[in-house]
Amino acid sequence: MNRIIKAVGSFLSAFSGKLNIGQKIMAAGVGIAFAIMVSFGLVGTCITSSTIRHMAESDLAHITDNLYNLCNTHYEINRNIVQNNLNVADYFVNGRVRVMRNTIQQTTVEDQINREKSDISIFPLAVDGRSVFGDNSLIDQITGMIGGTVTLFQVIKKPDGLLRVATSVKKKDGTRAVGTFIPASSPVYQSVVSGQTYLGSAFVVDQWYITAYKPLYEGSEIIGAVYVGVKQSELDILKKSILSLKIGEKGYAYIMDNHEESKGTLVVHPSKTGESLYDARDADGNYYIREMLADKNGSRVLDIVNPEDNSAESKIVNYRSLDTMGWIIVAEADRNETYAPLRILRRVMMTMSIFVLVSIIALSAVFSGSIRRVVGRMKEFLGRISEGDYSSDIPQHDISRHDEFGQMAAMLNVLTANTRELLAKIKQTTEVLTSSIHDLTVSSREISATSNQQAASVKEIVSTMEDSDALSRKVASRIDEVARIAVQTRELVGKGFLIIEENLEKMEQIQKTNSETIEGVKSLGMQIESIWEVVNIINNIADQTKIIAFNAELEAAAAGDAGKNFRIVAGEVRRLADSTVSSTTQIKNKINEIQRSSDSLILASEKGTERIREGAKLSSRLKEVFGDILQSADVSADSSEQIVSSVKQQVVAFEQILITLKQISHGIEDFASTTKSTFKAAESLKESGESLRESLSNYRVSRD
Amino acid sequence: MDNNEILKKLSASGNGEEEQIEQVSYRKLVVFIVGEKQYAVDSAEVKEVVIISDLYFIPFVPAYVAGLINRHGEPHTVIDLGMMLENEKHPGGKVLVMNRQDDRIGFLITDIFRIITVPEKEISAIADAGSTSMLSGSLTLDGDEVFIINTREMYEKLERDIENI
Repeated sequence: MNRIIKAVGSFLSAFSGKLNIGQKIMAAGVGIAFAIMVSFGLVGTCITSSTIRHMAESDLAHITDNLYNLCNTHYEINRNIVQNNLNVADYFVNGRVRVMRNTIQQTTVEDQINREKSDISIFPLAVDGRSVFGDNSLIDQITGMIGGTVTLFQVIKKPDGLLRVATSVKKKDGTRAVGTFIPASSPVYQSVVSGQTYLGSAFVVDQWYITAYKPLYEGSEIIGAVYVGVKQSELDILKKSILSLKIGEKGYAYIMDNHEESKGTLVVHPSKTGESLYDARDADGNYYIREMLADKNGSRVLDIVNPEDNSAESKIVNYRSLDTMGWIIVAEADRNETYAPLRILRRVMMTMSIFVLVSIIALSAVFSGSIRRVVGRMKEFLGRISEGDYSSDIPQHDISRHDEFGQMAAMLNVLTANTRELLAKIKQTTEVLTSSIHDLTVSSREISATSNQQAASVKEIVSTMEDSDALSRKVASRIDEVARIAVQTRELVGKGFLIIEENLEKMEQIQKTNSETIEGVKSLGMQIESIWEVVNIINNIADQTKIIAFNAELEAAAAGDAGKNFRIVAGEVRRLADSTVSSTTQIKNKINEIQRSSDSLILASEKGTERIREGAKLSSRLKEVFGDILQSADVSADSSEQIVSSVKQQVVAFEQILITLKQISHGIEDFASTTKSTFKAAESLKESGESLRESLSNYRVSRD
Repeated sequence: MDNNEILKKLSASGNGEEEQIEQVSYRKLVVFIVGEKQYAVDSAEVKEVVIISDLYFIPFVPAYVAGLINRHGEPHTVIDLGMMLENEKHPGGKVLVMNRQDDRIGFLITDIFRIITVPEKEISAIADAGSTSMLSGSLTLDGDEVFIINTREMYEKLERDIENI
């Protein structure tokens, strides 16, 4: 539905673009009328349709209810009859039936459900001491009295069941159903074996009956049962009343069997009684009968294709289950027949719609003609304006109209006058704006060029600064090394200074020792001097002795032979003196040597002293120099540390400068790109200004 | 020629007034040192050797007269042999007091050496010395040459020189 509305909307909007206002008004009138008619028609039809269906369904439901009640009543009545019949039958057989335990009878029995046969041996059942197995005379007598069917059952074991011993029930072939038995699975058997009388619908041999079974006792033992029953299908009154029922022209009611053995078999039907609809399908191929049988109660619409002449039928059905008899009661009505009033309604509404449409078209044509003329003139006027001609106004007779078009024309005249004024101002402003934009373009181009140059320069600076930064990092690392070396130098110089001090001390000690040595040597010289004196004295004495001896020798020589011995003695004395002199001479020589040695020693020592003094002087000068060096090394180490810190600060400063420069570079690049975009903006502004001026030149604001 | 003849000849030519107590064939000589040279005189001519204590300068005398010494109260003229023989001053500390009757003379010497007795024949005369020579002969003693002083000539020269003044 939504999709349809959308499609209609889009069609309308596409179509309305091509219409003038008069046509539109007419189209609107016709459209609205059509829409109203259609919606009335649709709503009316829908409501009517649903009402009709509802009514038909409720009618059908009433019919099925009534039929249900009818059938149920019929069933109740028949059940009462059956019960009465049972009492009669029971009267005949009760107390007369015994089991003959002295006789064994071989027989073949047949399961009435699955038709299975088996051979068994039984003690035969007897009435008044006479076996009744296969003897139907008593049963026929009873049947003659009460009608319907009567059977005498015997309880058998293996297979468990109730064996028909004597019966008036006949098989399809017309023979009596003696020898068949109700198997243990049947509710009848279970009820009888537990000593209960069974009342209700039951499958007897091959058909459904309204039945009653009563157990037969021998003492307290259940030995068999007596049965009476009426065939469900043999209900003539019911059939007649159902078949006489007509629903509309073509509708009717029917009953389907819902028992497991004969599902879908038509129990009562106007034309098809006894057929089975179990496999019937509708036009879509659904087994609708099976669905109905499963639903039991309900209502549905059926579209059926008749297989004989391919004619389509549409039906409304209502159905209800009568469980006591295993029936589905169905009431069926023809759909076309049911909906006949709806078709009449449609025809009436169609006629009305056409009439309404014609009258609306006429009215719209008259009304839209007037509007179209006014709108045409205004359209003309607005066409001039749209071409830029603001010089004319809407004529007075249109303004003097008293409707909205008149007001609109007056407002349009005011609007036109205002726009004329505005356009003149815009033209003036545009001239000024265009020249400004031109200036802006030129200056922004210059700015862009300058900023590009700046960006390039700053990039060069940045790269140079990066090199410098790298260089300063290298310098920093080298300076670190230098500082380290300076500190090492300072330590080494300090050690050297200490060594020199020690050296100086040693020098002073040496000097001291040396001067002591000289003193010692000098005092030794003095001692030797005194020895010298002693030796001189000795020498003197020896000399004098020698002289004396010599003189004595002279005297002895003068004395001649007499002084010969004396002369020898004198000679000895003189030789002694001589040897003394020679000894002393040796001593003298030694002393001289010693003195010479000591002199040379002193000389050498003094020279040594001088050297030592010079050494000491040199050492002290060295100390001074080293002190200076130490001071210089200190200063150098301090300076190098300061340099290191300065260089590090410089490195940091360089980094900061570099970062700042990079930021500047980025800024300038941004600025360059900004100016570029400014330039572009200015260019586009210029173009816009030009096109504005051009556009404005199309507008005519005065009559000339 | 035998030794005696040589001795006679020598004594005749050199020292005529010399005492000859012992055999002529031997001479006793006092050997002394002036400067570095060894000289000798006959031991008989020498009275004694003294070590000079004070030497008194005498003016107006020849240069080889060193001065006067006091010897037991008697003044002795001291002749510097170095100046006399070699015209050279030598250190001298001893005076050889000569044994003379008429005059008291001493020779200033460097040192006394020894008294030797040598055969006359070992003394060789200095051939061309002449009568005015201060040296009369020489001999070899232990490898060194020893000159024998002609004391007479020396005295004479002294007298002559003093008179010439």
